[in-house]
Amino acid sequence: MGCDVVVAGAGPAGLDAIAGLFAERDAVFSRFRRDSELNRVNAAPGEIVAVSETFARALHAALQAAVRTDGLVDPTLGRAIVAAGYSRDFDDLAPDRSPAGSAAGGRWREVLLSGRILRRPRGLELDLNGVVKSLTVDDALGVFPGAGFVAAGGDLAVRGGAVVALPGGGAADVLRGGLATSGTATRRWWRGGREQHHLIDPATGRPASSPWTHVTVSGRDCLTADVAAKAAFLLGDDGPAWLDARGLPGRFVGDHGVVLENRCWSAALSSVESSCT
Amino acid sequence: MDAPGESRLAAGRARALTAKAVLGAGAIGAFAVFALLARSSHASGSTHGGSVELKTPASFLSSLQQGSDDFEGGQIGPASGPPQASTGTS
Repeated sequence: MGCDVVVAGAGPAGLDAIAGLFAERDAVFSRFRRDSELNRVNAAPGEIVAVSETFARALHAALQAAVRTDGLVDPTLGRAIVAAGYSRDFDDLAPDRSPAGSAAGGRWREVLLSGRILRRPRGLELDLNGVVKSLTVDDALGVFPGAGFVAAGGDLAVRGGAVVALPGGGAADVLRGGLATSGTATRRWWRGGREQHHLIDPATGRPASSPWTHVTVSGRDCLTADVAAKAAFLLGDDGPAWLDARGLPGRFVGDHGVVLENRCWSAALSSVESSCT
Repeated sequence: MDAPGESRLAAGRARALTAKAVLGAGAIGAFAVFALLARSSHASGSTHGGSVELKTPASFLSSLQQGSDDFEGGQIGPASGPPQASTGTS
């Protein structure tokens, strides 16, 4: 998945199982492996495709994320991310003078999943990588018992507590659940003389404009945190209040390193007993 | 004057011709009706000259809504020691 995976608390067998889990998910969901199930599904000519159980579960989670964020986290942006220039493994991306394109998003309501049977319009390309990594982090934590954590490229699931360094400095104790950061500090590239990034605004089909470089969210699990962090990033100035309205602690880093905590984050880290809702 | 046998033969031919015409017209009509029905109900068919948006049943969307619990925060607190992990950027 193009990131390091850090695990604490698992024995050798658990570590092997977690390595296998990440490898399996990469084989299914990679956009850069020609034989991945994602690419085979996107290339299938018919409107109806049978998918694996793993694929169906991730797609269901992605569609639920779309419902919960009113379409901000959208699994139908496969063409848009390619149009922005992210068409190969990030390490192989080189500056490209041709202008970046866009592709319509917001078509997640046209996707229907019934068990392992998927129906979607011809030509619509799915990209489930908005949820796959955090879902896999949550699954990896379930591989071993007892206290520990699994961290992969900004996504973290914790059982039993862990102190976690935060973007822009500082740290917090994650006592339960997940912590995820979304932003544009990494995975940036040049296309048509403009810097691009991987967080696509479904309203425009182009990389989103946001005042934030990092948005960190604490959630019941890593998937919840990740989905909420992406949505809060895309919402820009409205992100902190959007998270507060849902009882989610969020921490925002602006362009010049200015850190903003929403009410729920401040309440959680305050020594004074207080509530954010 | 035609013989009675020839008259009956001509009348039979006329009835056969009429029946063929009726059956032919019926077949053409039925074909047209079925073709229109198939065109309007097939997912890839076009009714406005452009592409037709697939409509996912509202029941599926509401099942996603019901199946997705509301967002719930995790539990965090002030750092109690040096960091063991970091949250970078996803």
